[in-house]
Amino acid sequence: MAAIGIIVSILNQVLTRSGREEQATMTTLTGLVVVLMMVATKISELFELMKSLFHF
Amino acid sequence: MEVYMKAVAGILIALILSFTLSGGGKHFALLLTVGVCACVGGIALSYMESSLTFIRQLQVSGNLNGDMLEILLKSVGIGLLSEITALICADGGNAALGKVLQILSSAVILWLCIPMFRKLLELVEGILGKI
Repeated sequence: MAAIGIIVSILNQVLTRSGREEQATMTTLTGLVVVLMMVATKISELFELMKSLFHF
Repeated sequence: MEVYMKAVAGILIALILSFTLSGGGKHFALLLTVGVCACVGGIALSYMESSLTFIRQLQVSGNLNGDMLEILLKSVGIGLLSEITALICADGGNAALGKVLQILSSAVILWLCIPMFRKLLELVEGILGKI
């Protein structure tokens, strides 16, 4: 996740400096969605574990 | 309990979306915090698994009422989850969401404890009836 964040930040800077603001925004959004999917998977795993442990 | 889990997940998503809409550059930091909290929370829970199994063994060997233990364990789980989520919300700069979640968790725990209060009331009524 941190690696994706760093790569997206660098890409964002490069694209912004070269005058491609729209592509920079799209890159940021794509990275955000990818990381959000990863986080959602982790949260889902945590919830499943809590459900099984605490009998929710 | 499904509704409670959905509410917690909704609050976390709302926190991330509020960052996205505000246009700040902290999205990835916040997502990383949430992801790491989920991972570390999962590891902590896996360590707690043996303790909870032992508590259940004690309950069986002590011939205690299982319903009460279930309520207790659920309350612990709700408390842990709400505390972690509220802290993440506070870190994200949206403490109001965390506070609302804590209020919701308190209400859910109270709702879970109603059968226990009813049994206590019946017990008191029984004792008073005998006097």
